[in-house]
Amino acid sequence: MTGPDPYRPPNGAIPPSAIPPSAIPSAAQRMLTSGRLARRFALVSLMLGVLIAILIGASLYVVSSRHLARQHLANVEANASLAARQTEGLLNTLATTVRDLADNSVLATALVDSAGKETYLVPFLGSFNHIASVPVAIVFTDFEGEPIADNGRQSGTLSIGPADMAWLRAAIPAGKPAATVIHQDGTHYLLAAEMLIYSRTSSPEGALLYKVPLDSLVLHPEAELLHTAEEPRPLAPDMIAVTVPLTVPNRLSTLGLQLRLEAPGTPTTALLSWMLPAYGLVAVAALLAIYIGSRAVGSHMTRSLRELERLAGSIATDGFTGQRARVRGNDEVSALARGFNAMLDHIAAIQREREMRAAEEITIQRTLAERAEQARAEAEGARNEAERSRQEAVMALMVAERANAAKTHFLAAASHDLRQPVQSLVLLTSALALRLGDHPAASLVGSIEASMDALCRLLDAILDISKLDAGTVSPNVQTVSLGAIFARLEGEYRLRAAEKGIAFRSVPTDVTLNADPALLERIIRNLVENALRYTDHGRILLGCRHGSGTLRIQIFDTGIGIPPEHLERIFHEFYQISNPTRDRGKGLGLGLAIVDRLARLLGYRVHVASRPNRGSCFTLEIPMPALSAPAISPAAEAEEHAPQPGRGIALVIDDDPLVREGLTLLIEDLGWRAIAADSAGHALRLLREQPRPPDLVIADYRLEAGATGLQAIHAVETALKEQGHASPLSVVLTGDTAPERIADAEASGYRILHKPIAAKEVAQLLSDALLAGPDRDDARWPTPEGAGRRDSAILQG
Amino acid sequence: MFAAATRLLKPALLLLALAWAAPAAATEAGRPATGPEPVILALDGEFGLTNSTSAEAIERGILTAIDDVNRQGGVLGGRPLALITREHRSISARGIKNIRELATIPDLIAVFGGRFSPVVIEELPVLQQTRTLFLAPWSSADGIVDNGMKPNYIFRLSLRDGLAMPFLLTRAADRGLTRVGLLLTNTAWGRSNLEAANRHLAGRDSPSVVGTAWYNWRDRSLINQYEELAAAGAQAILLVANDDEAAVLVREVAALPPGRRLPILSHWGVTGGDFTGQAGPALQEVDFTVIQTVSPFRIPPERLAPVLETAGRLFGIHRPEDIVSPVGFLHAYDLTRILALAIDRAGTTDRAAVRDALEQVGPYRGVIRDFDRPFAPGRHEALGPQDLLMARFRADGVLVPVE
Repeated sequence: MTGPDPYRPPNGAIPPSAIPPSAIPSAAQRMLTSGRLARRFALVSLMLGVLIAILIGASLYVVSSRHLARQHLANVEANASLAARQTEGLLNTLATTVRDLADNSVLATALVDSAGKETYLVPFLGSFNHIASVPVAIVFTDFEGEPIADNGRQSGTLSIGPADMAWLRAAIPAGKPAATVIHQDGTHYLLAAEMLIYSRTSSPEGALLYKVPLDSLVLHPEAELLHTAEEPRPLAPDMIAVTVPLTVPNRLSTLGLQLRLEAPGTPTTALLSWMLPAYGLVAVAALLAIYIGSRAVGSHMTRSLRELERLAGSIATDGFTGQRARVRGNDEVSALARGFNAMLDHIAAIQREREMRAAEEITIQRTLAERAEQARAEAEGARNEAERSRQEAVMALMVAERANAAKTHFLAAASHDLRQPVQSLVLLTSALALRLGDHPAASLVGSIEASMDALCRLLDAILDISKLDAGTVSPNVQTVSLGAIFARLEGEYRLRAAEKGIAFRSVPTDVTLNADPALLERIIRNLVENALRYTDHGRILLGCRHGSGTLRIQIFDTGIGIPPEHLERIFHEFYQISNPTRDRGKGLGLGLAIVDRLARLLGYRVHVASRPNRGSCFTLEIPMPALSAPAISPAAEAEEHAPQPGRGIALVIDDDPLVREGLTLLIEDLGWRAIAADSAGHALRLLREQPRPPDLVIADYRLEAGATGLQAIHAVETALKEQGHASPLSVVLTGDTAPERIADAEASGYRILHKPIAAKEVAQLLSDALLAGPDRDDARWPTPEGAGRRDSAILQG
Repeated sequence: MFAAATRLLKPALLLLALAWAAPAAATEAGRPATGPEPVILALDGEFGLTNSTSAEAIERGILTAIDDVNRQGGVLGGRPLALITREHRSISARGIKNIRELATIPDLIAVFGGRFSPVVIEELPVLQQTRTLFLAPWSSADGIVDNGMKPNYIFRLSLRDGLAMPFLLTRAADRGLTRVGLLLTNTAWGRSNLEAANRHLAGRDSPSVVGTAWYNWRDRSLINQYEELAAAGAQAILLVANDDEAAVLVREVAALPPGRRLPILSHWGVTGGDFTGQAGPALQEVDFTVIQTVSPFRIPPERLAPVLETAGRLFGIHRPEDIVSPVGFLHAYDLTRILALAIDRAGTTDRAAVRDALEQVGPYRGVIRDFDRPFAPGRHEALGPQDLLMARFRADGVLVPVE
């Protein structure tokens, strides 16, 4: 709120520049848009009208055309029926008239007395030249069909010809009325004969032959008369025909007269020809009316909208100055206008409120600014405080880290510093034991060696932890026979267990798996030792079992057990239960820590189940893919190469005179000649005096003045190479347990030995150096098959 | 009844035709070995007309005469007379056709015709054209003989309207029935009678004709015409009609109250059919008299006996009462005998010769009466005013002279 508000009107009106230009309709646009809605409305109405007109028209057309067709058919039938009735009437009148004529006494008289017929018969017959307005030709004949008189129609188109007379002559003998339909000159005629029967004679005495054009009997112009013998004319396409049988007097019934009325199949096109344009005109007029009407209605209805639009436009251009929209009527548009007004009211209210607030805000902001300044100062102080706290915390952490590092460093340094004297003690004790031989003090040397051994183990365990923490141990996976490991352990620990009064047994198994044999054995061994350590009676059982996808190696004991609260911590370094006095006999508390680290390194899981005073069960879970078919048992594994030191020259470089002397003594005791130097330069000088190059170089890792054994070895090798000698077997001896040192040493590629080393290891080195012989380069990585006496040797390499 | 008669007649006609045709065929084939060739007479009669008896009466008269002639040796030195008949049913066209056919027969001498005058009148042109000798035993229209033919081939031994109407009017007047009505058939015969009446009445005060009514052939009723004439003041009706129409009138008049029943004086056409049968008992309720030229009851028995002898043999006609339609029978008989005389007089079958001979023949002693010369050139009427009488029907249907 304190920043500049771009939408805030400076004087209560919205500045035009604040509105996007496209949102403001120009006057020209307004002119264009004005009425567009109405036009659209009109167009939509028009389209709807067209659609409705088409729909209604089509429906009407379909319905009415069907209706029309039905009505048409009915009309045709009615017409046909009417025409048929008319024709029937005509035929009936005709036949009846002629029959009556035949009965007429004038004609009868004429049969007897034709004399004077011109005076009475001919005029009489002549009055019958039309019967029911139908032109008819009548001939009055005698019994043989010879004409006596006619009705005066013998000269026109309708005349009775010789053929007709012949037909009559053939008909008379039957003595009955006869009728036929003849076809002459393209016209059909009804030809009929009525016999003049005289009650006093046996056969007709005369006949009336009459002839009528069939067409004249049909009053309907489209109708025609059909008779039995006549094939109906083929019907033209799009025409329908209705045939009505005629009910006629008996004398004509043999003709099978039918009236046939032909009519177009659909109502006449004449009707359509004026209907369609008329409909079209009406439709066009209706659509025009719809358009104009809806346009007018639309423009009327959108008038308020246009006003609103103009109002909005004026507000957009001139700003809001209290304009109001006119509200007309009570429809959606008026609701819109009311809503618009309400919006304007709201805007006005907002403006008023803003103006009011503006003043308040100035005050508030001023106060706020003061407060903010105060708060900022306070926050500054707090921040400084926090920073100080953080720095303190960091410092505390650094102190803690330093403490921890110091601990580690101390531990490493302590162990290194311990290793140097222990190394010399070991070497000296070994040399002493060799020299004492069967001297009575030799038993003391044995005790010293036992103490030294315990000390070495402690240092090895610390070294192992360090190596594992340094990540320098990488598993060497191969096929391992678990049964062999079990057997070996059982062999090793059975006696120890028996000495303690407990039983140790392993369950034989033939399982083989892919694993690092040394590391795996170390894990199991540590667990077995742990069990042995905490079990005073009962027994220990080692076995394995297959689980789902895992192999479980389990060590049961009937020992003191582990209270639940300790379960989590038993795998920590130096943690021992029930050993507050740190009894050495109970170990160092590093075994399970090593187990834990090794298991994690190998991807195994270790867990424990225990009940205090009842016993514990440690389980090592190995994922099943590690299993493999039984492999050839590495027979050589157990093979012990007894060191057979020959005669060689060993160069010992160590700045610690005790260690240098101890090593020199031991090497010489083993029959080698030792050259001792305290630094690389000393070693090079000594070498120059030597006619023979050394077969073995043993260099302490840490030499004087920050030099390393690696540099010394390198310098020696370079010097020997210059003299044309092959490189000897080089070993770095280190007492460092700091992980980074170990890693550095191992990265050199030389063989590393960790202090303290035993005499046996020295003997092995001598042996290896001789064996490497001329191919010493290849012997830089001797196989670790010569496992050391001590457990730590497992971790080498 | 008529149908039965026709059925009976047909075989007879057939026989007659064969009787003539066989010798004719023989003549054609060569000279006859069996007797002389007959001389052919023909009768064109109203056979086939129900209730008509005139043609049969004429036929019997001719046959009776032929029998007599043939028994006396025939004509032309022994040639028998033979009769063939044709029926015209009273229809002119049939008559004309018959004449045309008959005229072609070589040895045909003459044709007898009857009874309807209109038929004969219609036949006249053909007769003239074919020069066929025509003998009229019963037809009364004046025009039949007064036909203008030269020579005239028509001869009549019969009543003549020119005689009948004056006689009837006179007889009516004699009975005090001076105002008469004429009820006429609308035919040449009727018109002939009207002319005859008019001729007779011309220049006379009494009797007077109060009116003339016509009926057409085959009219079913005549009472309207009768009433019309009665209304006109007629005291008597002069009826020119044939048997069937007359019977209708008689029945109708008989149905009237007796006071309104006018005397009817009838021309003789009514005697040519079964008038009494059709009129029935009504006839006795009405004063009905009919003109005749002859009555068998007035013929001396010695004169009638030979005829009845032959007729009795041939037709079972033994007594005068047995003669049906006596005028036809008697006229035909005498006319045949006269013709036979004329043939012999002519000595040939040539019709012209026979015609001429007829004008010359005589004297002849006939059944009706004796004729000095029945015919003469310019006079082809054998009978005269003295030959007329009135007759009436007895209850048994026999026509008897009125005294």
